[in-house]
Amino acid sequence: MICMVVNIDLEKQLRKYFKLTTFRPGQKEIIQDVLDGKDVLGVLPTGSGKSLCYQLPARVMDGLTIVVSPLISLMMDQVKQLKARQFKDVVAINSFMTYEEKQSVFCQLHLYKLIYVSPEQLQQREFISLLQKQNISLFVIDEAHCISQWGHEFRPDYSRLDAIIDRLNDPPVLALSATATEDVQEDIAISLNRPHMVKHVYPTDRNNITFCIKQVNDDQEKMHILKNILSKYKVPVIIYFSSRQATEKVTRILASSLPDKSIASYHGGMDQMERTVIQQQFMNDQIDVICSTSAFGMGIDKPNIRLVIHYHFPLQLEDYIQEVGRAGRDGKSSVSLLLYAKKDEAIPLSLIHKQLPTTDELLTVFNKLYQLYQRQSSIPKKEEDAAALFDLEEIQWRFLHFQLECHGILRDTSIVYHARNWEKAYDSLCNLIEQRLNIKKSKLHDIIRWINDTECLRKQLYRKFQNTYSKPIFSCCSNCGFNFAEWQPDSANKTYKQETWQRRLKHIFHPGDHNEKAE
Amino acid sequence: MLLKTIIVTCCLQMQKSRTISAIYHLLKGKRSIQTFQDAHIFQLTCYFGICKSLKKQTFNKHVNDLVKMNIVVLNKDSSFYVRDQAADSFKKKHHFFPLNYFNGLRYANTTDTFFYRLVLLVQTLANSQMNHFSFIPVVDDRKITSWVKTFYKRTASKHDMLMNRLYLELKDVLSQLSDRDADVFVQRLSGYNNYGKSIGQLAAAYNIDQTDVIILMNGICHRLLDIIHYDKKRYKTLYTLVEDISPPVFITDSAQKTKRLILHNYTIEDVAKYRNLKINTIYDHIVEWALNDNQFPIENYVTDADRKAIIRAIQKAQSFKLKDIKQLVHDDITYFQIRLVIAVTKGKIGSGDMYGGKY
Repeated sequence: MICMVVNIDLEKQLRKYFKLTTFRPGQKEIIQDVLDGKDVLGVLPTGSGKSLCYQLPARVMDGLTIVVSPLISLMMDQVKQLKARQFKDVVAINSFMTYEEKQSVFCQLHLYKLIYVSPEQLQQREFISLLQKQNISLFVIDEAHCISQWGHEFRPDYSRLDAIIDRLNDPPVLALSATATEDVQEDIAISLNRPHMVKHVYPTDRNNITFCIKQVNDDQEKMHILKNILSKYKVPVIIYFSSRQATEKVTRILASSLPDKSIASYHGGMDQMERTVIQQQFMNDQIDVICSTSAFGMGIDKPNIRLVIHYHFPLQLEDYIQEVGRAGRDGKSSVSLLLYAKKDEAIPLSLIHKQLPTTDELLTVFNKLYQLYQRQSSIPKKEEDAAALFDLEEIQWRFLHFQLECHGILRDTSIVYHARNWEKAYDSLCNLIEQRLNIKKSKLHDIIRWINDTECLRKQLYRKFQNTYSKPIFSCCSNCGFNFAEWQPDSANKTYKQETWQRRLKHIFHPGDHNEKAE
Repeated sequence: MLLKTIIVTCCLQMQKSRTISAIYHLLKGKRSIQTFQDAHIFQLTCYFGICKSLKKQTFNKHVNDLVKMNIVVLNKDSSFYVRDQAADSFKKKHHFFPLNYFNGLRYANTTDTFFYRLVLLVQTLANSQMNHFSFIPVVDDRKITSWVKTFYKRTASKHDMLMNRLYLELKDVLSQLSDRDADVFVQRLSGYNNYGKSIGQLAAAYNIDQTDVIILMNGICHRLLDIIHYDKKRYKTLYTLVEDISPPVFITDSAQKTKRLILHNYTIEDVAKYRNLKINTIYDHIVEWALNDNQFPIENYVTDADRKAIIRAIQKAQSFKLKDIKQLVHDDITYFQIRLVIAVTKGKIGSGDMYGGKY
């Protein structure tokens, strides 16, 4: 294979485009293989700069880089950050765009170097035929663990990527993930039909994070602990919750009992401008404490988050490792605190059931489909409309839609009826749902067992993902004797002054003057 | 309490004539002829679309609160009436919310565009002043970003001057509001390394509902737009943010076609046949036209005597319910004629000027 870019000075490119002087572990190795035209699987811990592994190649290679990403907000964040770094020929194509916006991007695909797309978008024929006319130099699959049926976040559309890559004339593939056990890694290679992918797997453990679990009786005790800790430490904090309501409620209580702190909430129900300002205030140290659902933090690279608190524990250890990994990216001492009440276990269980349809719901869907078929009708095009029609959560419908297509019951929006086939499909779906439920339940079981473990938390946490872990730099974990009293993180003394609107207006319009005076 | 106060105000106007969801549609700014007609008839155009994101649940919760407070009485058929005294004292208690700011219908197209353009322009200028070009824009909407981009390029040679003018104009226009309202507005702006507050943060800071912050922000924008439009010379720079936006036209293309044919002397029946539409659809179009056009030739459809009869019936019924009015006029008068009279008088009935001269 001829490769034009074999001899470039990667460090020089890194300085030029990203204003960075050194690569983080794994980045250079992966980029080198990508530039050599190899198919690569990269497993790198959260916060180690996975996206640089394709952003730098996208800049230096001829042709177009396509990145498939399951999270729309994440891809929009990345596009914003790249544009802020003067990488302008970048775009994210997703369901938030209007028809006109999409068309205007489609007309000028050749002008872009890097295109982020949702997996759903890649199912559209018009789009694929436009891509076929482009010179595609790299096909990237972000969050590649979504490919694996047995992974913790299976995305049906991901399992059809191999066919799409085929139709795009087989460009080199880069699959990236932060959490992929060996089974999942193997699944990725098989599903993409690339058994000889070069694997770069780096450990996910973080030696500057101390793990702490506190058993409590109820929410009141959680609040008490939160108030104590937050009033003691002046450090950037993220607190994770499992629901929007809890997020907002605790934000309100904390804000009123800690008036000196700037505390805000963040969740997927907020509109775009709200999310952007909260995120940027946090990056900019205008907010001390973010109360958030798991929607917050992806793609956020704030170096000095000292404390990540779980008010509710996540559905699986993979999520926990990702969320905790947002702390202490600057390498300084940081703590993960998980507050655990026995009764919390009911919450993840109900969340899991909400992700998959029950057999009753499945039967209702089949009945409704049959009625539609008899009326020679079809299903709504939009995901949310279809979900509403069948009385399902969108996530449940997405799962089912894919399965119904696989069984030949749905073709685009039209319904194909064969009595025998429907019966068979119904039975096999019941089994599949049961299977998926069991996987999720066993993942949940794993995290609950870990929480209740009496051995070293660090050792037990990483057991499934890697063979060893590096020695902690600071205190190890609550089971190894960590106590909050001894923790003295780097902290900033900050006060928020009230100012009149006239002064604030002046500061906004004359930022220069303000800075001089402040100095 | 702002949303509640506004709901009470709307209830006072619409009671006994409409169901409670008419108020919901009004506040959401539903683009239907019925809602538009209601806004005019009940003189509530100022509250049209002041909370586009309002959820039915939230609205119902506020209505239920008002029912519990014994201010609104909700019947089983979702019609309702208001206990006047309780409503009055409720409104007085919450008078610190500036109800007179609102001008919803007039600025239905303008409010969001004005605010987002301003926010993004200020953030862009503040950052470029500091030679800081790697900031994260707080507004994403492509229509807004491309407008700001074009404007920014067009004014390239005079950014300093532009920034200064914007500053002075904003300071001037904001000082015509209460300090609290000026503060809420300024807190939303972002600058250099300085991001504005979210709706949620303002709600916490002022201890009011998030919905109230959204409505208040809209009210403030309406007030600013009123001032800016009133003295375009004085607020030249701020006016450039909105000069390309025209007020909403609530006439559908289809109604427009009907209007054109009628003006070419086609009869209603001809139009229906020609356009292959039902007569009733053509009636709807003509009512739409009547609502939108002060020059609407009502005399072609209703005689002077019938018009007076209809107005008397409305006053007697104390309601705009078509059925109630129909019962009080002679049988020859049609629903269509009643709707037309309501449309052209647009809620002026009872306010005095109905009797002056013209009628």
